[in-house]
Amino acid sequence: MIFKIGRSKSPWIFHLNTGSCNGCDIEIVALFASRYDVERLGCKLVGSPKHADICLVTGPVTARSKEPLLKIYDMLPNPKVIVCVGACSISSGVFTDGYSIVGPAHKLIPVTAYVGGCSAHPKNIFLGLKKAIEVFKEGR
Amino acid sequence: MLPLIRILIENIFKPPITEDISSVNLPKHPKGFHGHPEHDPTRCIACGICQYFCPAKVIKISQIDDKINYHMDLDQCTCCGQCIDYCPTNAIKHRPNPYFVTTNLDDFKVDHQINLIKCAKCGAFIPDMTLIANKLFGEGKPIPKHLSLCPKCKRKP
Repeated sequence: MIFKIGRSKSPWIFHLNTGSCNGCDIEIVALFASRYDVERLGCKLVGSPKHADICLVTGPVTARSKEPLLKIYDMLPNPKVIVCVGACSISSGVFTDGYSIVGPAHKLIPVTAYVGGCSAHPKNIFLGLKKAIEVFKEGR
Repeated sequence: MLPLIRILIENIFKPPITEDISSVNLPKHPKGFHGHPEHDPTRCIACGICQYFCPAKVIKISQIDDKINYHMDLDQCTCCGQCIDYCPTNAIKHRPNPYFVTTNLDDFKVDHQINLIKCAKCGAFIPDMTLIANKLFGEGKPIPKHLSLCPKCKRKP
């Protein structure tokens, strides 16, 4: 019960780049800056997946980053909430059928929310985070 | 030192620059924002120019009997606006807002049916060219005969 309230009031976020072009990463940083300040929801960027509640995945999953993605997914505490940010992480985007692309993230791990756009607007990522927080409120 | 103190005092009376997006009414996007494309099947003539220019191969057009199936995978879309720039009948427009968040991947798929008309001579199915004729010759003018024929009948003398 305490964990449930804590997670919905202050979800900590881990940001994972699986071969992104850096566009969505910049938008995530802009989300934590003063204009679209997301820390009023209690969100905080953390460095370790073991501390995080939500994982923001950007980029198509390349062959090199497949293993780290699965490792980090195992490290996340339950309930594991993944939010895919940007067109690449939803469906590989313009990199579809590339020789080094293993596939979009939802082929490898279960995903809760999808945030569209290339690159995703900070307001759009904000709504995605709100969807993820709803999952904590309802409980799984 | 003095300008710094002036800025500090000014900042006390300024409103915060943080946008209020926690409320239900989300703030509007700037004019000309590149959102996802929105397709209007009533204006579309299925010329395929959007499919040709799309860099991400989002648009797929295929003919099924007397109808054309217009398919868009918006999850791959990069919002570049090429399809909107090249559309001759303005059938595609930018989505009026940048918000596109779902928990279901099927929401990104768009499937539209475009009705076809029959060729005046042989009865083969061809797209309706009245919108193009209106653009070329002006509204209300008679449509030339060759626009209501299929490509095979056009070549015949």
